[in-house]
Amino acid sequence: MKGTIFEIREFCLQDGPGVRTTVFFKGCPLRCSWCHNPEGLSRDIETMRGQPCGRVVEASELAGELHKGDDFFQRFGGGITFSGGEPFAQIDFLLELASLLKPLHLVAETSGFVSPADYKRGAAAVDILYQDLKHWDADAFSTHCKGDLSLVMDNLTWLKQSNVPHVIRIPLIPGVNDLPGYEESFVSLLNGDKALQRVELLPYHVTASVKYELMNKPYKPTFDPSAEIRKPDLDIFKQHNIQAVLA
Amino acid sequence: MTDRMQQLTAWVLDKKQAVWRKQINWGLLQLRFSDENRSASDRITDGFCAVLSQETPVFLPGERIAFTRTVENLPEPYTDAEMSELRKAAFYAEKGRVFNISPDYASTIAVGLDARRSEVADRLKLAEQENDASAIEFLSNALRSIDAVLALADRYREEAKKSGLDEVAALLAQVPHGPARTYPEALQMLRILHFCVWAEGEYHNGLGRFDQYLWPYLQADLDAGSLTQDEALEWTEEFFLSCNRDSDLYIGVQQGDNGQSLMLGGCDRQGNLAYNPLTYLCLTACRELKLIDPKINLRVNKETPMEVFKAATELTKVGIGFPQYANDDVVIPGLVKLGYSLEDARDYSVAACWEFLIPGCGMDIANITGVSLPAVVDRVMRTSQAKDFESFYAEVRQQLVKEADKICEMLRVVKILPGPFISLFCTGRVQAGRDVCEGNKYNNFGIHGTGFSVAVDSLESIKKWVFEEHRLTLQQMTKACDSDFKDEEQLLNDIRFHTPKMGNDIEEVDGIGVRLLADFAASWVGRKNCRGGIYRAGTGSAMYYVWHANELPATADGRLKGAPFSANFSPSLDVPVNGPISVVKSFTKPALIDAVNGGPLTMEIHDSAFRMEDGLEKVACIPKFFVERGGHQLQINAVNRDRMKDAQIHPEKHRHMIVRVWGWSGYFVELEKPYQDQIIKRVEMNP
Repeated sequence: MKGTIFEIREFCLQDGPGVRTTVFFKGCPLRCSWCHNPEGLSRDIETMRGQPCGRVVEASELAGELHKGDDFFQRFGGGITFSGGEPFAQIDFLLELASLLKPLHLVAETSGFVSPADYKRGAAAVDILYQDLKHWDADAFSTHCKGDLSLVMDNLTWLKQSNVPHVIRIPLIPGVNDLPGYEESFVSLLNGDKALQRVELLPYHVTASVKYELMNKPYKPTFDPSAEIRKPDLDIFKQHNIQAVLA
Repeated sequence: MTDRMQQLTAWVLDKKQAVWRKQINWGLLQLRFSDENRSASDRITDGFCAVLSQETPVFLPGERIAFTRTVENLPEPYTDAEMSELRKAAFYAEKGRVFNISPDYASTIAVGLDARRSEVADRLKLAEQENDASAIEFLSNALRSIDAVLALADRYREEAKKSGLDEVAALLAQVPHGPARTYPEALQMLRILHFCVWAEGEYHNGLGRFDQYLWPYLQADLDAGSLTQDEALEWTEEFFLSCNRDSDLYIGVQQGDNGQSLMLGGCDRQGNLAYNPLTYLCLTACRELKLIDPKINLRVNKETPMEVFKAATELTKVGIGFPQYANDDVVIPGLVKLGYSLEDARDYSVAACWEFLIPGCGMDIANITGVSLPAVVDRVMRTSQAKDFESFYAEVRQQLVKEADKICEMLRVVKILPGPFISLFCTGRVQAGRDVCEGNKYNNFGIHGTGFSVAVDSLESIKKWVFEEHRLTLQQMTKACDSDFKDEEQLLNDIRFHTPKMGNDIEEVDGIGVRLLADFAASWVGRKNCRGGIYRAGTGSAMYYVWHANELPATADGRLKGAPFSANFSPSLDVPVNGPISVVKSFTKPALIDAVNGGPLTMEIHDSAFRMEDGLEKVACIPKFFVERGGHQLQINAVNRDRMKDAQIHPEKHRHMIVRVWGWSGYFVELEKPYQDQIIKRVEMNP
């Protein structure tokens, strides 16, 4: 079946173990105001830098392109990462693609803002799941991401008791989620997490606005992008036996 | 880096040594050249001796390796008018001098100049007995040159003594007269010889396999306990720094293009792996100094341990464009295929930029000229009546042969001006009694194939839109190119974004690349040059990526008028690529064994990659992958576009920022804007 992607980028070093080739799925149900990939929001084919942005592609064709990296992955490790956009928003396409890519090592990065059924199917299709945690507070999530946090929390609850190896990613957004004691707030969400490998904290970067300009879209952050980010106290995670790293 | 080295480096970067420089009026000397109708060899040696006699011994505060140029300008052996007269009778490459070779300094470092002097004097006696006029002229001038060098070295020694610089004076008490016995002596000797070759007027002088010929000296010192590892590093750094003292006087096409390249690692003449502790020390020294000279090349092969790649990647990380990798597994058989002996081939180094050649015995003119591959495609596009792509391509192949014919015709008589002093470091020249300008063991000509990916992408575009889709005719494509795609926005868009391009591991277009390189190389096979050598095809562009590009209108790949080609063997500038894996795969498909005139695949990696956890090890996989896939030469740049953009606006803040240009690295702010822009563009296409 067909899906929509906007980029294939090789040699992504932060998207999983080893050297990754990342496929960016186009379309996302959330609207986080700090989003670094505005071209991943809409499922439609758009224009960026005067070039068409987005491509509708058969899973088999895409798998063929990605398999070209097999010799590299076999030799040096690494694999394919599904990112976006929200890859689980195109779950059937993702599942077909994943089945065609196996036994390559697969990772998916998700916001968790998808139906529990889709979430479970997606999680089962990859070797490691990268789960985003943007906020612990439903109102804040709704304000800054335009979504219902309970859906994410349901999926997280399932993930925590599952055997799916996963990494939790926390984007640190100034004034949004770096509030005093935020480490504790996030830690409390991760109580009893069975297959958690580690937590990665990713500080917001001001370059996020660049791509909006290239797409002639307005960049309207719901926070002050130039504000300083409160540095995380990684020891708090450590006290709860959670390995945390600051990217 | 030690405090002493930091201070010395700051001194050199501020060019404080320039205060000692003087301009000399060589008018009288030059007048005498023509009045007395001096021979070329005599003129060059007269000039050389005059320069050295005008040199003033100077010492940078705290330095231990002496010899700094104080004479700013060298005498020209011929006036412009005389030179253009000479050029009517023969082709002289560039300035007409010996250039772009890698002298064998090692043999002289091992015996000392006194011994070389006796050797030359003995050979001269024989020449006189035999009444061999050419030998007499060459050897007498070589002798005069050695005497001039020794005289200057003696003055340096006296001055050092007088100034209380005991360490410098002690080194100069042994070398250059006698053989070097220690690593510091060997470095001082190398400095003197290299300095003097430049002073003779030769340029783009390489330093050869530095870690191979100097390791025995260092090893002995380390074994004897007379040097520690740290001291060895400091001496190495001081030598490297010395290569930057005068390099602003060694101007090529742009500042920085001076050819002081050195080669590390690889295998020895018997084929055994030849990495040693000095290999690593050199990588460290370069990494700590962050200077544009010497230019670090590293030989690798399938057996190269991962730790070498990692150490090299540490150097890549600092963002000065070093090292440039060369793959033994391709280069050695490639050179053998061209007629180099296996032992010599295993001993290869590079000339100024990337041209593979054998130190000492190679008198190849490795960048004698280039073929603009996009111009070949353009010419065929304008004249062809082909009905299908195969016929069209056949005409391209014929046109390549015609280009080769034309170049051979231009190069029917090629001469080089003598270099009696540099000939001392060219294997067997003294025994033969002949200046190296008359040739040596290898006298091949290198031909760059420039704009490779523009040509390949243009061919693919023509194949697709003219012959497969029948969207337009060749005449219409020509018209579109001539109008710079004005009023052809949709066509330009489709060519740019809906046509396969080389660099994305797409068989259809990469296959054209495989054919084009093979046919370019084949167009030179079997041709003999006028100096008893053959022709070698390569993938380098040198400065031609700007020059050749300016000679063409827009091209069928959607490159607009005025846009440069990509440098060397790399994806076209406007082509979005998925990343380094695809680029390596595309560009290792052609049979690079047939392109060992050299010319690297250049790749940009954002500098943030190196800062990530395991980033270094991951980046190190790229050259390893490249080698295993059969690439010939690779150069990786750690780049940061924002920093370069800022440097264009605030050059004063980025005075020391170094970038890779083509076969060399230079200070970004000293480059002309088109070269700066080309580099920024290169980076922008590789997110």
